[in-house]
Amino acid sequence: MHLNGAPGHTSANRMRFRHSSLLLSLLSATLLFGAPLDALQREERAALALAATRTADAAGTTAKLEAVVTIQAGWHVNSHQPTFEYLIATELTVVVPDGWPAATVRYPEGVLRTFAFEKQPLSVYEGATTFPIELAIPANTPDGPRDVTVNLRYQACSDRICLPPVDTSATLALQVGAGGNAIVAARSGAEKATPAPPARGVAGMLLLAVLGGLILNLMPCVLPVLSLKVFGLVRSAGAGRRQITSGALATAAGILISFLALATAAVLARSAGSAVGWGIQFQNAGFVAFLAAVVMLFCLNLWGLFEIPLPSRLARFADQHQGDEGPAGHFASGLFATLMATPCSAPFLGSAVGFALGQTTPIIFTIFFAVGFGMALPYLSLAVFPGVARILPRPGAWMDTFKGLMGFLLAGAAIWLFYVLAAQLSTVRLALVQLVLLAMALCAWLLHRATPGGLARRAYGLLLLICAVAAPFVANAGQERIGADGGSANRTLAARDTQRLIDWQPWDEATEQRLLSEGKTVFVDVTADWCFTCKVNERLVLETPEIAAAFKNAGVVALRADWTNRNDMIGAYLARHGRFGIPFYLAHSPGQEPCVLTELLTKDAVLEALGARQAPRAITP
Amino acid sequence: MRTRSPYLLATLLLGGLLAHSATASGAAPEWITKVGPATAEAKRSGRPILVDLYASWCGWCKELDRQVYSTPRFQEYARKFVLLRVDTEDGGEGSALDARFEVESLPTTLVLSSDLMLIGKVEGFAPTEEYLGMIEAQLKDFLDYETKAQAALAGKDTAVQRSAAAEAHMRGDGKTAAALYRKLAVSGSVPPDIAGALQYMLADALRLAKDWDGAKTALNRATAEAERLHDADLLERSQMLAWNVAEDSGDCRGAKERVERFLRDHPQSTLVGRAKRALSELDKSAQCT
Repeated sequence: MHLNGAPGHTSANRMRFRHSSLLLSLLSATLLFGAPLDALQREERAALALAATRTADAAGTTAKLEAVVTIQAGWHVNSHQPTFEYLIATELTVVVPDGWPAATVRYPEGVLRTFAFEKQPLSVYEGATTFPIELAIPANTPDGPRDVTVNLRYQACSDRICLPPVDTSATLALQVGAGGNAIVAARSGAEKATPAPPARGVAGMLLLAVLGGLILNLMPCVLPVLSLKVFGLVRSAGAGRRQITSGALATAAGILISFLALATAAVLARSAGSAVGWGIQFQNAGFVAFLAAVVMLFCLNLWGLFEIPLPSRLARFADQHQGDEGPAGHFASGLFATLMATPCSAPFLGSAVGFALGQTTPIIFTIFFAVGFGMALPYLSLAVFPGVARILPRPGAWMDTFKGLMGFLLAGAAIWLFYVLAAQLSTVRLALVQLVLLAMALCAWLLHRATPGGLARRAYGLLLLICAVAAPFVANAGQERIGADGGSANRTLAARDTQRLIDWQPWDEATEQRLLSEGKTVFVDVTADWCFTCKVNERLVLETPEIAAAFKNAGVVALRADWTNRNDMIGAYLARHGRFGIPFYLAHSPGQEPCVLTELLTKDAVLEALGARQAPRAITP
Repeated sequence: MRTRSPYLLATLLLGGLLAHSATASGAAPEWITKVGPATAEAKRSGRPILVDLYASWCGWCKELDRQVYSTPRFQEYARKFVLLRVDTEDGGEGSALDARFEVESLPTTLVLSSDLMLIGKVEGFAPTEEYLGMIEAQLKDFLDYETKAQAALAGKDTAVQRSAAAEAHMRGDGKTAAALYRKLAVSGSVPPDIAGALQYMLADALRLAKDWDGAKTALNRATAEAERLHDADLLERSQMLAWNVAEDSGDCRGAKERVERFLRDHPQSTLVGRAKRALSELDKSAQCT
């Protein structure tokens, strides 16, 4: 209930008792209850930051400043032109040095948002909003810093409550003088970013992205491509250093280009307003079935049952090249490696890419590029040091054994894809998809045995193609797909956690709000079957006796949102908290701002998030 | 002053609820906009007060009015309450309720007894059924609280008494809180280093129960303990409470004197801001002039 939780956290912030925590726990609950009519600290939901766009602005010119207002996730403020007259508009007033003309503030248009219980859309600001300010500096102003203060007045609401209007201000020392340089480009990325945990900078994420890309090479789906590629390069090149270099460079280029294409797709999708998130392609069962078909074909290829016409044959054709693959072939296999990386990228790169999608366009491109760079690193190093090739074992009969083993690795990847599909499809439909894939394998086998150039061969080839294309359709068609009605949450949750320690309740926004209004602390876990990091966190951190006990003691209600299948409510929820990918963990106590935890969860982080939110208990002598 | 026992109050409350839902007539219930008439009506009819706290700029308050308060379902339900609606920014009664019950967001709905004890608090907008459900849950919690408080008073478990005291205090049920603090003080379960703090809590509970003399006695004990332990925080807070007690008991001059002395004695205190605000409030008060 609300009342039990309320006094602890509301008063604790205002309490400054030095001595024992016992005393604090006794007093904090009620000490200030009676203190009458004390002006309560206004809760701030927006932060104001000021930035100049030049290192110095000359007297007689117009200085351009930017005020960046960052509104907490889950909250909005009215725009400068609110939908209703009675609403308090967001207002910026600029206090200029004495004798300067008044500054002009340009207010961006508000975003039209419809909230759960309100039919009419409201014009609001959310996330980070930049207000350009223009300031004429009188010609006779001597050089030196001048204080410019911006006062911000706003009134914030969530989708259930409103907070009193707040006045806040920020001051900037504007440098007056000649010879300044533009600084906006260097700064804009960090400043305009949607709120992200500050500890996790862009630089750290770049490093993670490069590492993640590098690790992709070792994933079961990519390792076969990589290893065979490297050996292929060595074999085809013989001793020719130049050929090794150009082949490796072409492969690296293929990887990089495909990652930049992915970045472009992500930016376009975001600007089109669709829910972007890394790994959400896995919410489409058809896509997963398509990948399963590709993985299976490649697997058959490694087992010697099927010749992949792509990329080498097409490439040879494109290259007009006799003999082995040319640069275009290597380039195409780079593209292919990226495609093969997709099934494995979601679980490991979700965090970095999820972070990127919350950033500005240049940062999105930089991060995607970093992932591609990491993945291309082995090829790039081979290009720079072709001598490395000599260390590698010489090609020989062992390579057939190796190929066969790699085939089993890929078969493992296929099992993982079926595991994802199992959460999305009914048992019957999953079996149908698998039957289609089996038929495809049969065709591949028949194709392998057929006499070259015969009519039967063409027929088998055509049938194989039909099966491969049919698999996604079979997965997507029909009514018994679960997920569209939200029924999957229960099914997957129930099926998955047979030995769970924590009593997870299905999440939805209304449930969270209701629990909060009842004074309960909630812990939200957004997960999906295709999210490997989520699985690791759940197994190693959340589903442990320690955390289960902490949840129980603090009376925390554990809510789990399952994003295995498409769910716009979850997508919007993540976006409002500045995230575009999962894992996502949030601890939320009534009357407090929600605390979003890091993607790589630790027990300490969870305990801290809950510990800080635990209503103080009565004294324990 | 509360004279009824909590049990009696609960009985009255429930009785009032039942009686009034049974005798409901057709007219939509009216919102009272002044605290005095609302408490008088609550006393007369035995119904608790449902307070709608709003502000002109609060969009969700308007939605609550439009989507919940104007529904026949709510109007039927509301017959078991006296309805009070106050603007939290009126600089008067509304602002005072807002501060007293630590309202941090709007809309907030309070359920109060006729002597302004907190029965329930619901924050934010919710659709009608959910909203009524939250109010009902608060009423149920209150009945649970009364049972718990009685059991705590009758029993010997000090842990139960501590948590019941905290809840009573928070609800503004000063009499129950004070009784529990007194039991705790003599139970021997309180470590000596927080005995002074306990007296401070007792004083504040007695202030809520409008037992001015009792509050002063407890404050003297708290002050003595604070001096003995060289506990500057407790000392300053006790002095602040002393001026609050004086002010609440209508002794405006006494309160003003205490605030001025506080500002002289503790110019470095973190409570100086509060003291200065209190002084300006007192200066404006009619009783002091």
